[in-house]
Amino acid sequence: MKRCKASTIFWNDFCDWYIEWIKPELTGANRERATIAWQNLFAAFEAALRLLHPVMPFLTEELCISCLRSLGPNRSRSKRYPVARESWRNAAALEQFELVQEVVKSVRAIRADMKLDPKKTHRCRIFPAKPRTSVRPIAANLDAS
Amino acid sequence: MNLDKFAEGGAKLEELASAEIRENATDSLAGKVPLIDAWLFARLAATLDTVNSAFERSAS
Repeated sequence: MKRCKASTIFWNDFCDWYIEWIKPELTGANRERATIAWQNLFAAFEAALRLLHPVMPFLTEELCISCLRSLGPNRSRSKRYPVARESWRNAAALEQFELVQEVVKSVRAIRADMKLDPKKTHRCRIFPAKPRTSVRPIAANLDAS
Repeated sequence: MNLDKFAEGGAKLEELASAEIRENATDSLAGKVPLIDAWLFARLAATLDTVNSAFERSAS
C-alpha cells in the first residue's frame, strides 16, 4: 500500500487523482451521480483541510473560510481533529484503484514513449498477466479517465 | 471547477455541502459508493490513522 503522508492525501490523491477523475461527473448529465460527487468532494475536502490544519494552520483556515464557512459553522465538530470512520475503511477499494492507477500511468508512459498526441483519443487493449475476476469493474472505471 | 454551472440545474450549495452532509459522506449511499470515492475515503482513513498514531507517540 502507498505511504500515508498528510501532504500526499491532499496534493496527490485528492487534487491529482480524485478531482481530475470526477470532474466530468460534476457537471455531467447524470444529476444523481453529480450530486453524490459534489457531496463527497466537499466532505473529502473538509477532512483533508482538518488533517493538514496542525501543520498548515493559516492556509487551511483561509481555504475553510472561503469555501465552507458560508454554509454556517459545524458546531458539533468544529474543534475536533478528524478520526477515520469505520465505513471509510475499504481494503478492496485501495487495492482495486491502485491497479487502475498502475494501468493509467503505464498507458500514459507508453503514449509519451510513442509520441502520440495526448489530446487525441487512442484505443488500447489491456491483457492482464493473470486472469483476474476484478478486472471487469476496473476496466469500466477506466472509461472515465 | 464550476459549481455555478451545476447550480443552474437547481442544486443549492446547502444541499451539496452542508455540515450534516459532510459529516455523513458515503454513509447514505448504502454500499453503492463509486470506486473512486471509496478509494479516496479509504486513503483518508489510512492517513488519519497514521497521523493520529504519530501525534499520540509524540505526546507520550
